[in-house]
Amino acid sequence: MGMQKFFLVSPLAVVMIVALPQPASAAPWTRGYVVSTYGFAFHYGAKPSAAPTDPGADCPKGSAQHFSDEVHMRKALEQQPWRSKLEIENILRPPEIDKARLPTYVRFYIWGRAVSYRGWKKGIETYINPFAAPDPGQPQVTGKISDGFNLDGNVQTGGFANRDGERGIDNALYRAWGCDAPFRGPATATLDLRQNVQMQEGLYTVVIRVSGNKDPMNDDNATVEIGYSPDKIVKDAQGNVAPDYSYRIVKSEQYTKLNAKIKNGVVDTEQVGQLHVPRTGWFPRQMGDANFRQGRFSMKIAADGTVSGFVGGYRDWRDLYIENTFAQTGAEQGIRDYEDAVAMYYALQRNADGLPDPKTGQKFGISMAYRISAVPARVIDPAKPASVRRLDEDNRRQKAFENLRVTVLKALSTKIIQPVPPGTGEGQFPAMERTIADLPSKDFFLKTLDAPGRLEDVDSSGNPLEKPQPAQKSQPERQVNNNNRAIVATSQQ
Amino acid sequence: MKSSSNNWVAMATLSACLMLSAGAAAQTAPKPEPASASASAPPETGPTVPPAKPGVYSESKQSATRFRVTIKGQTFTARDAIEKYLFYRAAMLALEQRSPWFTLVEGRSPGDTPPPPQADPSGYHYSFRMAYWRPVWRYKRTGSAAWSTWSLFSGGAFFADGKDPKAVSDYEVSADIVMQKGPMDDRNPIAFEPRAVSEFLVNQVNPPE
Amino acid sequence: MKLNRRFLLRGMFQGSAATMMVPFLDCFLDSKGQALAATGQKIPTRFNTFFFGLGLTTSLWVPKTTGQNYETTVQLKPLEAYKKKLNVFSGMRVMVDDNPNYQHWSGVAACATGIPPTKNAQFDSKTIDQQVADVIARGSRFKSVTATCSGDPKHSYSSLGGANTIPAETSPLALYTKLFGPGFQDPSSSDWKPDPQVMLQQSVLSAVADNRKRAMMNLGSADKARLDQYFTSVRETELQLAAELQRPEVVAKVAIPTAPEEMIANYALPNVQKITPLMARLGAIALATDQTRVFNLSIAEPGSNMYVPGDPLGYHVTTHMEAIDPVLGYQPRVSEYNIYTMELFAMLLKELDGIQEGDGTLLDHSLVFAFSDQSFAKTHAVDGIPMLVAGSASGRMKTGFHIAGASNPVSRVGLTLQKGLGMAVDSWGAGSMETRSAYTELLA
Repeated sequence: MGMQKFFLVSPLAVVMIVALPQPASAAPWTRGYVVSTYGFAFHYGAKPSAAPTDPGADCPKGSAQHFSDEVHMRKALEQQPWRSKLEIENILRPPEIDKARLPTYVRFYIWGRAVSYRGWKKGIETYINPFAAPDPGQPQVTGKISDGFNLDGNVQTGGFANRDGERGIDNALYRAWGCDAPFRGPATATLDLRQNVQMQEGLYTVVIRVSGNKDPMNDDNATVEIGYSPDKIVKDAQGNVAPDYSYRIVKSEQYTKLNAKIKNGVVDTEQVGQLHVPRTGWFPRQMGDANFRQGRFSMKIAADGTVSGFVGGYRDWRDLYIENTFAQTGAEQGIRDYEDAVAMYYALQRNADGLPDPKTGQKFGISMAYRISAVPARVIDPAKPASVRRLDEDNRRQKAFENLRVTVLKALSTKIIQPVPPGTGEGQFPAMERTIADLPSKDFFLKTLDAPGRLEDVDSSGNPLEKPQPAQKSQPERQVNNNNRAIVATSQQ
Repeated sequence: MKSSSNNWVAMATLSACLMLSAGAAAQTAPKPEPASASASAPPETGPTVPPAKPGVYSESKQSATRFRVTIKGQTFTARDAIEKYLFYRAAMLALEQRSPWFTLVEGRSPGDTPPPPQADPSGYHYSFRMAYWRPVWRYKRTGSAAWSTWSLFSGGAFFADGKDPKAVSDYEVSADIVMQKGPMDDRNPIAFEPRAVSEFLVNQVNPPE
Repeated sequence: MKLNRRFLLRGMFQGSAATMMVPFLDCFLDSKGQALAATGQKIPTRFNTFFFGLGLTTSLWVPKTTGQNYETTVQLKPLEAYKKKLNVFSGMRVMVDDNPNYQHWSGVAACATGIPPTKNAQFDSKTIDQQVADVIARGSRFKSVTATCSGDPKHSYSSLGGANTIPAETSPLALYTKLFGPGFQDPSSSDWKPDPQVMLQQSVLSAVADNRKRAMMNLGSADKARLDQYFTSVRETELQLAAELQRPEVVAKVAIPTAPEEMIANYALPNVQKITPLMARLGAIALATDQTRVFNLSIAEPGSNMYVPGDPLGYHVTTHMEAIDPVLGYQPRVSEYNIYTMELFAMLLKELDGIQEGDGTLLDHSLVFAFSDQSFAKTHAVDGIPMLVAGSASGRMKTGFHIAGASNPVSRVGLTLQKGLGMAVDSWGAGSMETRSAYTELLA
């Protein structure tokens, strides 16, 4: 059956075709895989011997190097007209820093606090309200090669060709973020490496199951399933993901079942309106749904049985901004990894190419893909209901992350400046206050730099302290069930 | 990997239409794109800039892509506030024109000394600097019928610096902008993205009078 | 005789009534008397831990060949002098099971307990040094001594379990005062006397001995068994105290140094480099004079904040920020810091190996367990976490080997250590890291 007919038949016709006798050679088959590497499909255009910050065909000027040294830091600070020269100099080189016990962290947190407040006026936390700071600028990919899919079916859009020469590849996220230092690699991309290490060490597991009724290498009526597994990845003695272990597949919100065709070992699925797969991440709070619109999946089966491929579509770029920026705090991520989330915010908005708002025309979708490699595994349905493993403490962090997410979405949607939600650590609070406690010049920074709160009002995580309740002189009260005999204890007993 | 994406997209879309018209549950076919990308985004409205009084703001088309935006007022407040409002209106005009970016036409006169802005050699791409939004001013002082002109390109101090703002009876500030298409010139310091500019300024501006 | 919570053991001591509440004795129940002979004629075997944060650079520290006579690698070079007294374990795996990989913690806890931590910054059991101390510390003045080189008492990876750790001594002067200040008696001095406190406890126990027997009468079998078990521990305590009433058998010839001056202890590498050999020497003398048989030394915390003056980033931040040099294949600055940590480890080995006792050195009569929190700090990886073991445990451990762990659990090293110390332990660790498989090829 030809590809086109595959989708043009009516549901009734499908039933009739299925009911027809199958060729003698046809037999149900299933293949399973556990994902061994997972990350943004960014094509690294420099030589393998180049450093992540070096130029390449993808990024001729090299990568962004925000906050990487005093020169870059000064440029960032000078964009705020409300900062005095003294303030800038003191931030860059905190006075008497050598007398602090932790000089490296004193500088780290002071820099972090400073870059967290770069709004048009004092007091605006910039990672929660990135639109309130002018675009710091981000080098973008100018190369013409990209991995991913032609999502809109138009070879004139997208601006990329893949390595097989197919034109019209839509991967605007790569254009926007592909020159960001911690994603330039492949062997040197810090954030890409981190999320793969954490996945392989058990943060989460993604499995793929392909099934059909003909030949696993050629089947025009196959099914692809993708989802989380509650089972941790098994590694072999060399530390590689071991093949042929069993994994349960969880049919959670991130489970997707797709129709697919397989031709000569290349699996291509249909394109669907909503495609839910686990997203990448390196902290438990980043776990969740990638939620592609116009999503597709494709993979190639290699001779050794392993597979490589992509899952892609349009994602809401606001979600991408939040997931990446608040993996730690905006400042921590920025200063450690030379990336400026504010610049990345503007780059996302600039390169958005899908999901237009019908009223304003503003695009909230950005085309992208995850690159996947996987090894054979036995993917099974759980014997009894199973869910993705999550610890209580993960749930607490997830809740804090969700609070932050809602706050940031509100800020981005309304452009109403939002405060820092308590307990998130954003704005390096109260980490900076605690770290500079023994810095002789701490008073200057406590007085000059913005802060999301006051140290005396919060606990070590930045959560507001509960105010002590005034003592009650009345008799002790207990809530009782009126249907039961009330037993009221008093302190006299 | 070779993928046959074109056919698939076309087929998927057509398939979706057929299945929907047949009343079938189109579980795996593309759905129409949602009106709003993030269902979790609160449906709140943001800050709005009040409308200017009639005659204060005007825009005129100079050519197919070139527009002039102008503020006329009698109550001078501060240069920065008025220029920001003009910048905001220029950005809003570009958004209305669905222009992904626009450039400022600098109102330089012969003999102006400040050099044209250069792209930051260390690699600031796309960034916008308020300092490069340099419209041209005309003004009248109280009791005078004659217009005087001032621009940043003249090199002198701003005409109202150190003086009583009430001494300015009339002012007019304008800028010519050119709507651009295609990828933005990331190295042009006087190229601006209308959405970035408008969102940055929306909490900062009020109409002059 | 009716026993209840208020039951007291009564006797006469020096003309006065001596009473001892049962709950008071509960503090002795942790003791498991097995190795009291250790205070006899044999030179006791000692145990040391050395904690260094942020791991090493795999391509620069793992020897290319296994077994003996491996070629010394760049990052093991500082330990070259002790190569024949050292075992190197590469490729050991931290299995976190259903727990998260707590960044900068899971590796520490797994190495120290054989158990993946269920909570961040907490140990799920006693740490190995305390498990060892339970067995080998009998008769020594301090069950264990813990010190750190960076000035923070929290930088201790010695714990009875949970979030609390045994605070580390933070300055050489403080450690000196603890060891050789008031209460210290040089075991080699002619007028050595037992600690008066120990004498008192011993006497109280003796005084109530008769009463003990009467307490056993008229009890049900279960209670009798329980009380018998209790009295067994009392008797063990008596034996332990008896050991402490004897002069420690010190065969090393060491001079008690004069008190060091108070020094600045912080993260600056030059200070750490000054303090580490002093701490190591004091620890070595404490071991040699049998003041303790367990000495723990840490450079700093996991995710070490050590820094070279002038380096605005420091060790930890550099592990994250520094790019991997694509030509070299590693982070050059990080690798320098790695080497500093191995130089600091060498300082401890030097002090231990510099004290002669009997037919060998203090190091020969010790096991020194060095471990870290990460294998590749940039990504918070823990597989292949570096583990080094020095000393031959008085001949019970063969040395000079490179063992390629091939993803075996880190707990195998911990079990091997305990067997090397002669401890009667069959298995160690929990979950996927529970192991009965020591590296028997290393055990003499």
